Amino acid sequence: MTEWIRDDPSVADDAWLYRRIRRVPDHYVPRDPVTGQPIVTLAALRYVNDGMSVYESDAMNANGITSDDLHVPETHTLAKFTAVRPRTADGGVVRSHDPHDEITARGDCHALVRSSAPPPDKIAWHRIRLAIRQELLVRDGPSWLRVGE
Amino acid sequence: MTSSIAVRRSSGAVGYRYPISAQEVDVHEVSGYRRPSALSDEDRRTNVGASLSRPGEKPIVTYTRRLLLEVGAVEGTGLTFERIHLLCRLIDRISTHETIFPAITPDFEGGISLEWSSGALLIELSIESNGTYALFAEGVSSSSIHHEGDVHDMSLPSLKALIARFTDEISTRNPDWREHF
Repeated sequence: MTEWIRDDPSVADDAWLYRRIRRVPDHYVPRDPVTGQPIVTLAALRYVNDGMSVYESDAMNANGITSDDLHVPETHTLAKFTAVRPRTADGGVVRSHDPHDEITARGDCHALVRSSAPPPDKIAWHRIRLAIRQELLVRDGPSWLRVGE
Repeated sequence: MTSSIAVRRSSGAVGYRYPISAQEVDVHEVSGYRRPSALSDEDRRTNVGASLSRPGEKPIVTYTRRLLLEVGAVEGTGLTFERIHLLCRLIDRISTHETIFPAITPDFEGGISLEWSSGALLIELSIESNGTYALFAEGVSSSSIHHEGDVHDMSLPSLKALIARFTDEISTRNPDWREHF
């Protein structure tokens, strides 16, 4: 049986992890009812199969990939958080090359946010999602907007 | 001639039916489905919303039905017309005419999450295609809440009370919250 790897310590705590979130429908931006600021729903931080897909900044720098290469504003929201966030909730980050990415260099920057065991129980993943959302920024044109608590 | 409406069957196939009422034709013409992005903000707030509302219906139900239909029209979400109908019935039972509208996220497996959140306040109700649910709430009652199980065993009065508390708090902070939806 393959050993489950929760975390790769070589991913620095202050490395940025970028998450592409598809908007469904593509014009829909959920908002905080008090401030009107855009929010990222917890359900958008979704665990699928063996982790939550992200792109890691140190690998991006090494491969010449920028956040512009991840940003598809017509259909997706681009969010980012630091690797320490899931770690504060007993989660982790592992590098995981995406062989299906048509841009090989971008696929080399792919990583997974994970919990301590697969598949994560809902409470464990909920704690990780909350920790991520406490310090989350979303791309707003050329800038980044804080949307965390 | 009245246009038919595309609906996704539980099998995943797309079928067509004629609308129950003329209200539905305004927005969901198969041949010329108008993407909401092509509509003005005024259209969305008045004509589109009005064309989908039914007399006496709670605003949250009208709003959520419209959004769920748009979600269901997106390839791959797996959200069926039948499930949208059931979700709207559920929302009707856990809300009032004043209830804050939720944010909606599909899981791309036929399930949906409804989230009411602002700052540290959170209620998340996720319903999966297999009929199970998960409820999380933070900051709305004295302690964090987590419930899971079959959706038929869900305590609707408890959920309704939770959402009412959220609505009271948010309405106090911003009585004009509707302008953000």
